[in-house]
Amino acid sequence: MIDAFIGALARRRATGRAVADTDCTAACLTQLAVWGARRVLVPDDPWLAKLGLVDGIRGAGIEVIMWPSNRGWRELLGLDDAPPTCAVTVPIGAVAERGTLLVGSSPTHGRSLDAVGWWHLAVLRADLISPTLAEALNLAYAAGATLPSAISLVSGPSRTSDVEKITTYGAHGALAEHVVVVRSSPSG
Amino acid sequence: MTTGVSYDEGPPLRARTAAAVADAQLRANLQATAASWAAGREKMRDAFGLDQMRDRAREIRRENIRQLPELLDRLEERVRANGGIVYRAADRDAAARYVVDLARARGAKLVAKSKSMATEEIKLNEALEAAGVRVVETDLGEWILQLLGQRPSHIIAPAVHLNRTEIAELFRAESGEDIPDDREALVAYARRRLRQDFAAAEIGVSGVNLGVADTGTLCIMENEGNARLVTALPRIHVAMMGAERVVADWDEAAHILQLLPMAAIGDDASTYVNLITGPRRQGETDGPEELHLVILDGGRTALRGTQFEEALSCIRCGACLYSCPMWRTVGGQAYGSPYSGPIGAVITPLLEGTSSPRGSELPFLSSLCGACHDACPVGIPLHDLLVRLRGAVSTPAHRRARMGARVWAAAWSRPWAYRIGCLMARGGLRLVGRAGWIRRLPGPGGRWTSQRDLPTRWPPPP
Repeated sequence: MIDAFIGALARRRATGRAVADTDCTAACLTQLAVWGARRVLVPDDPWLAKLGLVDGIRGAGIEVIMWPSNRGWRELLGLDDAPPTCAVTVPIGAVAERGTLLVGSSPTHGRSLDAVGWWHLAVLRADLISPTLAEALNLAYAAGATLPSAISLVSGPSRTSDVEKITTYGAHGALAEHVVVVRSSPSG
Repeated sequence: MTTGVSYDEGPPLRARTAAAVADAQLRANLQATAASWAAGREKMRDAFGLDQMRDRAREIRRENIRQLPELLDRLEERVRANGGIVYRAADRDAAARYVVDLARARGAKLVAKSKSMATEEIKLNEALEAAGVRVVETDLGEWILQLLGQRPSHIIAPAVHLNRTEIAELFRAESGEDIPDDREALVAYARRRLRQDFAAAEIGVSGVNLGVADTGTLCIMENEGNARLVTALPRIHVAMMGAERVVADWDEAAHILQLLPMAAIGDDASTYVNLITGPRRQGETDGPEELHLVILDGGRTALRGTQFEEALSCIRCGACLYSCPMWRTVGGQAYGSPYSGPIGAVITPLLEGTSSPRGSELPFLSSLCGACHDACPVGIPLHDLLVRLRGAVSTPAHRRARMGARVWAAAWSRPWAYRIGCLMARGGLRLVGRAGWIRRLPGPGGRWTSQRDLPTRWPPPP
């Protein structure tokens, strides 16, 4: 299922790789270096903290802004000469068939998180991948669960075909997307 | 910024189509667009079994329409339970007035919009601007048209009739900056420019592709990310939904959400689907504080139980437009309605009545070839609906034409009358003709000879 998901990502013009949880930070830093990101927007998520991601990014000399943040929209959107931001998300699900992420909202994970940034780096728990969209949605909206106020289905980078019907990336959302699929180690 | 272009004004349909046909650049842009759609569509047919998906989609949508009142009630109840506000607008004016009143009450100066056909239908931009509220379209194609003061020419791809040189000229004029006419530079400029408006707008207005009754969730599909920002950053989100756009549960929603981009753009997913279940919750720092769902009837529910009911199954993908030889020739703007192509020729008269000029003309802007039915992902028999609509049109000119046809049918179903008619016609033609040919017929026959000569005997003289 992980392989199918990563294969589908490629069709969506995104990239991805599967790693053990101990290698997650290294994989993320590699991708940030590929993009040349100097500033990262990270949800205040206990799992990411446990993976050591935030400390790892800071240790690499990259500026970290935690979500929620008191910075204004203009800065988060990259206006007024703010440096381009890489947004890190922790999806609540994924679809193997189509390379789709389910990015949910919560107090520590804004609904616009990946769309305000210039790059989108998703850190996905491998066991959250469903085979089809219907299964993923039925899980996310299962009866009795507290529904997130917003879920964004994200399938690749932002694009437009409004100029001569040719696909151009980075319209309003992220220019590029990379997914680090984290397999939990037997002990974790 | 100009948005004061009205659909109802302007020259008659025949003059509009003639002008479009004479525009070689427009035709080239339309043909290229339709060809790229057809190629993507073929890929989908093979890879995902589009035809089987279509059968199920047709069933789902027919059942949705059958249960529409119950589904709308359930949707409304759930949206309210999630903290949203629901307004059922009986007609276009009521829907537009609701949004204008809301903007006034909240003192809004700037509205950021993502693409929505329903807001085109109710002329929301004009209403807001008349009330002194600035409106910015944030879908790239729609923004380009707004800068130009033009109307969309396609449901999904509003600016397909323009090329990049034309767009670059427009952006240079708008910004005073030197913007090269390559695609990346144009998109980057729009991104930078429109981010100012996302940050400043008090109200975000979006359309709704589907409402899911079971959970009260609104689904908004897009590729650019502007709807993400429109529905997340402004303090108020107004979602404008056509009353027919509701499904029961997530199985149905998943099916339609997957089928729609396949039919619309020949791709297996759109980049973003925003699933919105209420305004921002306690502790969240983005998402609107107020979520307003406006459910627009505007003549829709009255179509249930009529011979036109299936028009309500439409999911607004735009596939029938690309498939239509008429649309590919004249483009969307010539239709003079927010909804163009075969579906536009069907629902414009259904929602507005067949007595208005465009309502009575549009059902005839079709060759009835049926390509639209083949292309439709929910299997609406558009060509049948067009024929039935033609029968329902009842302007004086159409009544005269029908009377004429009845007289003709009565005469030619009697052999003696047919023969007398032929004798008279032949005699008449010889009187008007010269050397066996007629260059120009008088009266209503003039249209026939405007393109060709008519022989007065058979075989015609050389």
